[in-house]
Amino acid sequence: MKFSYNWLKEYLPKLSKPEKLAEVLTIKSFEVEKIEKAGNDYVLDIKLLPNRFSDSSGHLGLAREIGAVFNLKIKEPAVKIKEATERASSYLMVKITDHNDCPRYSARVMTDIKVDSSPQWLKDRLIACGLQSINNIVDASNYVMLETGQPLHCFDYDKIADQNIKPIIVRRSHNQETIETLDDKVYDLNPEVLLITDLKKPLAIAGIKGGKSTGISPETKSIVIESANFDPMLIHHTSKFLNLSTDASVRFEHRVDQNLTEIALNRLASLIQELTGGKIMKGIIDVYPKKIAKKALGFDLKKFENFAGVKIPSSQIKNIFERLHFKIVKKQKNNLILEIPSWRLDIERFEDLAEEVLRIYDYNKVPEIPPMGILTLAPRNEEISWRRQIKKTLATLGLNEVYNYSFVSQTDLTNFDLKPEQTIQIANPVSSEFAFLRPTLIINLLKNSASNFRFYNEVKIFELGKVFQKSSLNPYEEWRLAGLISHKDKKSHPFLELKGAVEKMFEAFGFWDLDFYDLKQNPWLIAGRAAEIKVDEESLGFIGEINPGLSQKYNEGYPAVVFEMDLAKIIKSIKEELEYEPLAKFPAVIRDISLLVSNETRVSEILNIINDSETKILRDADLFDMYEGEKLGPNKKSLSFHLIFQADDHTLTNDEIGKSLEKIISNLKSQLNAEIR
Amino acid sequence: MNLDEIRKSAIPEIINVRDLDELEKIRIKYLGRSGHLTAILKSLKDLPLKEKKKIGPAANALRQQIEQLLQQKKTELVHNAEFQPIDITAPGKKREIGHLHPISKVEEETEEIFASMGFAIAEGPEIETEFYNFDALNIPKEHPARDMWDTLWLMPQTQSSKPKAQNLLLRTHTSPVQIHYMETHQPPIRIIAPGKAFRYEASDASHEIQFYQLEGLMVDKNISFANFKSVTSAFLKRIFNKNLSIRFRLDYFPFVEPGVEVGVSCPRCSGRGCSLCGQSGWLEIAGAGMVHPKVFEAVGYNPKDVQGFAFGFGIDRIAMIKYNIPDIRLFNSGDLRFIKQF
Repeated sequence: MKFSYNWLKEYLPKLSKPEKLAEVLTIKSFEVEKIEKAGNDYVLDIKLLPNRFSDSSGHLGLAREIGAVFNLKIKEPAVKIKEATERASSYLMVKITDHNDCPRYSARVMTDIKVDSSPQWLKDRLIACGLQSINNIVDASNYVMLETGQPLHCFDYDKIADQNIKPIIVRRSHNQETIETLDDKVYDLNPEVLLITDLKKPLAIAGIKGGKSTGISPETKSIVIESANFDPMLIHHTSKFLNLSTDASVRFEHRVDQNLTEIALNRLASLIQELTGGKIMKGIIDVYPKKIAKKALGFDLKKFENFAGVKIPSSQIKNIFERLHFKIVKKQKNNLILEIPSWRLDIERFEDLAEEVLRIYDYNKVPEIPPMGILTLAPRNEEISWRRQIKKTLATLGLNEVYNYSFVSQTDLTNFDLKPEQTIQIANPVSSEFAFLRPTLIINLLKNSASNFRFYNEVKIFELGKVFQKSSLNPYEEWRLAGLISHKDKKSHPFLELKGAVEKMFEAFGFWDLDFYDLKQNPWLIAGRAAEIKVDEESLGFIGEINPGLSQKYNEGYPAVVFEMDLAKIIKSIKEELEYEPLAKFPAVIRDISLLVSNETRVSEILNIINDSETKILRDADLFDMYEGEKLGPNKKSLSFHLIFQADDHTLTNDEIGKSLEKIISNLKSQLNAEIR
Repeated sequence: MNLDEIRKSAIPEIINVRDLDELEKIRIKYLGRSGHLTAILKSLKDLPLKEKKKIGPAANALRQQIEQLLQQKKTELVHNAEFQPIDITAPGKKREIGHLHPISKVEEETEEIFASMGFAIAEGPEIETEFYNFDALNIPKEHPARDMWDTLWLMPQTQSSKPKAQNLLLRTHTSPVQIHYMETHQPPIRIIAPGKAFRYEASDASHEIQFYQLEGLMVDKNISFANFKSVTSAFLKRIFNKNLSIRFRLDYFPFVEPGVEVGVSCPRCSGRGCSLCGQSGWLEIAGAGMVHPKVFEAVGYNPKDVQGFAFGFGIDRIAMIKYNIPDIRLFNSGDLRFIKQF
């Protein structure tokens, strides 16, 4: 909100230089976002806090705040009104249908006014504050709003529907009612909207904007000045509904002091009289059935000391309250009873008063005191620590960690064959790219891959994050771990590379029993190049190569291998596995065998036969070489294994191992037609 | 060549030889079938006895010396061939390793600092109800203050339009974790809660629709504003690892009173004013304050019995300042040119 420095200085003759003012105000009150020189004035752009509009959205209120901060006395403008003998009440009556909508409505009537352009000083003030000059009547209303914070409106009296005593009615809109506002726009209304009306038509959208029908024109001779107070929630709601925000609506939304209507009304009447002559009818039409009571609060000094953690001398505390116009009505030993000024609508309880003292004292002057208390061990968050370790392990294995948006588009869902009814949709997405919550991490990983191919020939990435899905009752979210490897070089086989990384990650946590089963029905992956990852029959997720259709759409046609697993299940597996096994006492013996088999034979078949052939002394069998080539003959491949023999209770003899090997070899020959090389 | 000449030429030749082939040539030259020394040895038998006795031992001694030198040199040359010198200025062979995301790094560092001050880590869901995200935090419905948080709402799950049904949203801050935690725990409370939060807004270099926050909460009987300042300063001094100025100024958040904005002096310009800090010399880094009594009421505490502070740091903001990252959108870009720097 824009404020004129010269205007403030009128109330505070000893006001500091603009820069100093901005610096202190930013710490203790409101952020001064900009200082701009405008002629011989400065315009301060100030970000009022939302709970302080009620007292600081006018120059007078802000001057009061500055006075408190800088300990300066304020000079308030005097209001002089010369009333005519005729009574306002013989011209006008006001009826409010619901006092909750409009707690107070004050009005005056003026005649014999002359609409003209405003004097230069008035124009300058308005322009400095970002408003346009229209005519002296409208400008004067805006001026008094900028001065007091009370929005005001003037109607052309002669255009209000004719009656002996003209009625103004404050009521909700009827259905299908419309209003044309001063800026020639027509609004469709509904019963949520509060109106100022006469017997026939709406005159204004209450608290937001005036209507064209009773607008001030060069011919206007008599006016009604409205100075009212409206329900902030209602104005907020209407302003949103009509998508219409004005200087008035912004102030009403943030609440306005109900005592202000009368003060601002008199100020405006006297200003108009000063500008145009004109007669002010005697008396105020003031509908104010439930008067706001004076507010008093206790302030416990001992409690404050415990709350602030610092002892501020009580004389200094009292001085701060006095500067803020909080009247100390009673002093007890450790308790002050304070009368809260009516404009401070934000002050409701002890903590609000504590803030006043601390901010004026200066937050930065409060000492830093470490908390005292019982030293307890903070419980460890196991899950976070597992997540960290998993991330670090994958990074060590050469994968880079990415963070992605938690959103995907409708197109993504279609491409990945995901059903919108199982996916959570955003009601007000920022754009169509971000219309759904991601049900998988894979989609965005593929997008990362493609974008990185501009600069890299291979992409190795992973992400640890939440995915979202619909469930019968509430939507649910779960942590997933996903990874991707993709090379521009189509000859390389990233499947085994990524599988190795997954296995190695588990091995890093002492877990060796990961199983891979054929996965045929995953629509994203190429059947025959996809596996389900399992531990003890429980599925953790999948790994596989993205099908050509998707890699065309998402990865510039380059093959990509991905995995995705449920993080909770990963943690469960590795957590259970960590247990000591006794160290072997007798040495292990390694024998290598190489065999030539049909190239359709799978490693797992061979390992099954080897393991079934020798159940006692074979500790492990590891593939260490795999080769396919023309030299071997058509449809053949050569596989070499380390066989590790070891017994718990004795050193193995060559004889024992020989017999065992023979058994293994003969089974391989008979069951696979393998040729031992 | 006489013995003296042989000695004078053979010994330096052997010492200076560079490879095994040359060495062999030297051996043949002196000790080969028609070598210089062999010739002398062969001629011994034709010499008179007196001469023979004089030259014989000297010739044999020289042969031994040469043979020994040859052997020594041979061993040396074989060894050298096996242990070729290495160009120690050549680049090392590097095993490729991946990089963690900068947010992960800052998050871990943050968690460690708070852990050392006895803070536990709590977490909460990213999909929240209006109650946890707003109402319980003293941001009632229809209150203009709600507009401070531009919210991404979820499409209602079922078409049964019960008016009482809670609207679901993506949490706009990590503050709902305070509520979840206090509902299930009694004071003393000392937690931090890192996580993702979401806002409906146009993204630019300093605004994102999703970002990372670190919530903090400390509640007991006597936790004071001075304690809040101490914990916050300790954290900031540690995480930025240099002596930044810290500034506390008045701010407003419905769930705290007094409300505070924490700022640090701009590390790029040291407070003189630059484009990073919008010429102000300060960077806003956290919203904080003393927990509002209405928040305590919402979780079933008696506000008369407890007091404490809460804060919300921007983890991305900390990372941007710490690593001099100019654009918040880089974090969600998946760009390896960016990630591989950390």
